[in-house]
Amino acid sequence: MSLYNLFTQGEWIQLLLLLSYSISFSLLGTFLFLKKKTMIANAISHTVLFGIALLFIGMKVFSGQTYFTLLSLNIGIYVLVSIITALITIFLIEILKRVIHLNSDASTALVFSTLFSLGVILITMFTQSSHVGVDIIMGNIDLIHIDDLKIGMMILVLSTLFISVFFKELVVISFDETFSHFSSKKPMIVQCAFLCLTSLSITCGFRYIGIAPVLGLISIPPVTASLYARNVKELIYYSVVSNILISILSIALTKMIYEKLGVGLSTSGTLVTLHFFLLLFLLRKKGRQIHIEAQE
Amino acid sequence: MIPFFKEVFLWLTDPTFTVSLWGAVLACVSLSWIGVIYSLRRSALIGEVIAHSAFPGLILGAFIGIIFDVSSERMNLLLIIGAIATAYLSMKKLTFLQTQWKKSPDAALMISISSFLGMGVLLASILQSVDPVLYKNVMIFLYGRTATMLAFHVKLYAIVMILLSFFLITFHRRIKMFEFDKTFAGFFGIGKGLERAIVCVTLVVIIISLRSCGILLLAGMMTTPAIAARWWVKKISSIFFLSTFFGAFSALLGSFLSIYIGGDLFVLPTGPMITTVSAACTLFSLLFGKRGGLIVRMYRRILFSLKCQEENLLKSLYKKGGAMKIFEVKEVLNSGALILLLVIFRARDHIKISTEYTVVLKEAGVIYAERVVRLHRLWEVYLCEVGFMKHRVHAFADEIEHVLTEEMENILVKRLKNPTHCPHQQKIPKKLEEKDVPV
Repeated sequence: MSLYNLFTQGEWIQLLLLLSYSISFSLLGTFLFLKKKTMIANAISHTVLFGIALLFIGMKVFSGQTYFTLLSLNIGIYVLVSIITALITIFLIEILKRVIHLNSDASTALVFSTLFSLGVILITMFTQSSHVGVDIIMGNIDLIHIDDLKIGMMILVLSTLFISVFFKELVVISFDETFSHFSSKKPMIVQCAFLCLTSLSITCGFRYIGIAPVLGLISIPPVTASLYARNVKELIYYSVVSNILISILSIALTKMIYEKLGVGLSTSGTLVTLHFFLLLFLLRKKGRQIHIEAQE
Repeated sequence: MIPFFKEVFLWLTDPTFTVSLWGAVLACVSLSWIGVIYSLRRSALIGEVIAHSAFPGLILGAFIGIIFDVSSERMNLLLIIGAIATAYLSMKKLTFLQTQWKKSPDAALMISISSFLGMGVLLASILQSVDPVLYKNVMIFLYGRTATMLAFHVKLYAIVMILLSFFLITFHRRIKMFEFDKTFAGFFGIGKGLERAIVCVTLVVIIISLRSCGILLLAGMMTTPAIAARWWVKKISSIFFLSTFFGAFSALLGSFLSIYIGGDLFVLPTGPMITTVSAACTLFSLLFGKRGGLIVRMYRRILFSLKCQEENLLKSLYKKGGAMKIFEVKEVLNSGALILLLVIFRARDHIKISTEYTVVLKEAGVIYAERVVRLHRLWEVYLCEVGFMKHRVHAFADEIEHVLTEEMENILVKRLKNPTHCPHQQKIPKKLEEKDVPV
């Protein structure tokens, strides 16, 4: 009872939501890190705007709805459109890499900056105001509803199931892509399913907890874990553990600061900053340890 | 069409637009120069990193300003200093993760972006509750306002661009050496100092452009012109010139379109418009660029395969004595679009298609076919000379006969002492002008 009273009901929901997303992100992010494709998350965070802009235009043309009614309605369509946009982004990046032989960094930069600026232009053209930023469309962990939890839990279950079933295939694919064609029957299908699941959880994450925490949760914990992990399983365990601890810590810290000092910190900002400081701390510690071992 | 040009002329001379126009052009050119250096390093995403990691710095600057209660002029300066400081820290961290800890550039970039963005969000939430007005000002700083550019800004950009071009011209040799071979440059003592100088120049250019162009333009302009230029020219100085052109062109067209499209109703944001134009240029270059653009590459491939098909046809016509039935041709060409191919070849004037479905070799075709056969047999002789088995050389020669040039032919003739028969005891046709010249 006393443990439950530690947080209000809203904060428990917040915590559960954050935990569900952070666990699925550390599962997916580990494999993105191993495949060296973390940058995809950043690219998607920009291109989603393009898909949303197209959605607005379509809605306005076909049903005459205005921009602001759309924001409150159509969450399902929103998620669908963002997933399609995310997949298109990944597809375009791969096309540029394979067909035109562009470097991976150049193709990523080209695709996301182009689609993002097109998205901004389209939104400005059809709402006729230049003050519509990404922040209106994107969610915030401090403004949540209990229904959001359903999708979060669904994503958690989906990603846990997927990773545990296809763990072996994913490991093989991320370390040796050529070998994966011999060892498992359909590596392409597993890879596609992985990318679909990743874009689903990333876009839902943007909608419900915001861009900054998604990018932070997907990129920082695997690197932190890689300092100590000796195999892929340990990599996943460590990043899940660090994610859980820091999620709880960040919510508690934000609450404490709000009660003691009266300053409303952004939970997502606190979360990412804590992750970052943990990484810095461990880098320093590990670096010192290596230094001492080298001296001996 | 004429009203359009009139509009362009009016716009170019309109004093309200010229300031922002020249500002955009100067900023884009400097950004694309910086972009060339980083795209050579394969880290085109560095602009993205700097743009994101300037965010917490801006807000830190604002906090310092609040604490010391400075005037608004000094506040702007503080914001810029803060932004430069955090951007520098994040770049430092990036190289630290990559070199010291051997993390992949992808992960290191993402960590820099996300962690500084997160810190920015945290600090922004504090600033929003402390001083909402200042928060709005900082946000303007971040998204950029091309319309608020003053003559002072244009002068600043001009100075930055001139300094940057001085830097590039003075150190171009060292930069080249450093970018292409770090170890080699190390022998000449080029390394850390130059690296630091490049980082400083980059930071100054980017943060100063941030005020009026916004993050979007920054990340876009640092990548697109450089990529586009690499598809046309090879030399690094030419890449610099061409990317200058692309940068300036997209700045001009983009800022014009941003006003022209909306008409009197609304003004499109300039930064995204410029980026879109620049991306369109890049797409065009990727498709039609002289050095391996997609369409150009496909066109060359088709031309080559046509040439091979034609030479094969001429060769077999020559061997069969100058005429072949269509069904025989079908075996040689082995293609679905046989009629189309024949029509194309007929246009080249080497063959003619007579009645009774027969393909006949013409006078010009005989000369061409003789050359192909000659090359084929010369190569066979050469391969036998080098030590290949006699029965295996035919297949190799079938491939190489399409690519041998006249120069190589002369060398082969000299080396093989002008042979008359191939290893299979068939006659090698003589070259036209050499037919009666003794060796």
